[in-house]
Amino acid sequence: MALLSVRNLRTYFHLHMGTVKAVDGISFDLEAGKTLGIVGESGSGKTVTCLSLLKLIPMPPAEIVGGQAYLEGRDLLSLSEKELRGIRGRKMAMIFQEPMTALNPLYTVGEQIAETIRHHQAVTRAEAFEMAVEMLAAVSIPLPRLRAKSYPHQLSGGMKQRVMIALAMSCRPKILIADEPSTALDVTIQAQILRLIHELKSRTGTSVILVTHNMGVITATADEVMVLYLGKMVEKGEVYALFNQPRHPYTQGLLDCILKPSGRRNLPKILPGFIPHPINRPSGCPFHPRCPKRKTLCAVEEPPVVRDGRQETVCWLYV
Amino acid sequence: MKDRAVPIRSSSRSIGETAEPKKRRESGLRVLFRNPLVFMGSFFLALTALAALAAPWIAPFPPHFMDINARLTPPGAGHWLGTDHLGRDVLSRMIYGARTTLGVSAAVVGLAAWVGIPLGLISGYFRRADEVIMRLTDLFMAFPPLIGGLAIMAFLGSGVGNVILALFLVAVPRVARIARGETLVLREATFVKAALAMRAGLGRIIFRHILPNALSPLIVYLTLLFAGTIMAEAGLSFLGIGAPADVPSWGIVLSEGRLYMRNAWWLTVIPGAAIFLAVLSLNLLGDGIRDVGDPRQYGRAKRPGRLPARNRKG
Repeated sequence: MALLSVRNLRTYFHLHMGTVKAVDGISFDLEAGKTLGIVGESGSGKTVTCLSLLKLIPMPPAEIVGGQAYLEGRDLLSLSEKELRGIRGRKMAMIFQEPMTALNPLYTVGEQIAETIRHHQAVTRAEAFEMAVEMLAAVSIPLPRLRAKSYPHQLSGGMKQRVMIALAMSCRPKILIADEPSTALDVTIQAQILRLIHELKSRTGTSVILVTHNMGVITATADEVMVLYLGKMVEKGEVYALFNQPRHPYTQGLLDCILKPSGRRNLPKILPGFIPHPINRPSGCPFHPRCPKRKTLCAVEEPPVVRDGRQETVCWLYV
Repeated sequence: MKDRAVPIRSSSRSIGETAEPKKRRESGLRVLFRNPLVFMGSFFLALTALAALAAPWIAPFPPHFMDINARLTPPGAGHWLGTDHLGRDVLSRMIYGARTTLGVSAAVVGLAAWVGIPLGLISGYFRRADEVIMRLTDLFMAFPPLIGGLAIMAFLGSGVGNVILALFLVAVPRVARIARGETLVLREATFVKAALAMRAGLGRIIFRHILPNALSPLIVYLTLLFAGTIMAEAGLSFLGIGAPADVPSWGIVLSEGRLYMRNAWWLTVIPGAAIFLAVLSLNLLGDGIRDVGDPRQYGRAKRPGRLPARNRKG
């Protein structure tokens, strides 16, 4: 029994120009203690998927048109705002992409963590502060007691992201959603942050949904990976199997784009064309205009999900 | 008792738990007065406010006491700031006038903040309310401020209470607008979203995350408003439709003195200078208050290294 199972999630944005189907029928399962990686280009619906689960997208213009997301048997999408508050933080917490702006500039980081702890647990102010210091130590921040009294502007980007992780983990959530947690950081700090998330996960048994567009990050940290394109799932499977044998032409293309340190002339192959405008989605398979292996059928009808072991591919090639 | 979070620290590491110096926060007042200009501004305002409060004891003459033989005396030993065309002591009238001028302005700014900021927060956070509240403010803001005030005064008749009401009605939509603008920006900020993701409720979002961050532009605007209100009150008095003529105010001293500007300069220069200094001081104080609200300003001067010596490099 999966901890979180999302079925056919659909989130649309109703704009003046038309409706953008940002997430259009995404399903996945997340097992306890596992990491699910979600990859895709910008605008493929990665972030909207995550925000939809916590209902943190602005509604309107967004609307969760359909689908279910069962967490421990309860459908998150049908909960009231009040019931959702019981889920947020306690069951599911989120780390955001820009650590620079994700902390309130007017309070010390210790205050911010302690406040969240006090919001969830019956502890005194002093106890909460001690727990905040412990959380800062747990995310490997040097001199945690001193740093707890620092304001966000006194910390570097990597430190702020650690603080965000401490904040998110302070209520021991069952699921941690990390929306491109390392994108805004430089490479060495990225590695530290990812290692930290991985360590915390194995220590606490938290499941992680990791959103990124970096394949390396996914291979290093995720157990399962889901590839999105224009709000639809393209392929899903166990990380190594999927990256060793990508079946969908889009996944193959994505993997071909990665630079390999194998010689100067070996420039990566680039997927032809651009992501279509989200309002004018192509008919049939959304990838067909750029697909090197397209068939006539691809432009007409949406491909079905093809299962091969644990790997699922949404493509006509394998029917 | 709910279950306490167990620290999830790795057993192997205990990081720098020793040798952490106590970090003491600079007090707000020290930050405020670190800037000499702010100190001067506050000093002048405090002096004026004290003088206004202590008017009956410190004013050399009653404000309406007329010494007809000493009409239009220049500043000197008997009347430090001279006398006006009825032989009234200008210094005394200025001291009493500070009561009206500062009192009216403080009341207007206080009320405008008290009503305007909540309106702006509601308007910025709830889209539905926004439509209603903003159309109402549009209605009020269609008139230029002084014209609006004039129209309301003409409707209400003169009187100190009416001056306050009129200037309040003119100020409120402007305060609400600024609060709304800040709220609109802040409600989209990542830290607000992050707080929501950690189950913060509406009250917490508004009062702990949005309002404090919106405060610094609001404080700046409110000090400007205070200054503007001093001038508007003076303007209304000058036009003769503000406070009644038997209530001394800086504006009235100025307006009565304008007829004698050529041969009795002190009648206009002194109230003018007082208004100018009060406005300037308020602006300086406003800057200072804004800095106190900003943690980036703390511990900035002459205390670079608070970390232990071995950590100072790198």
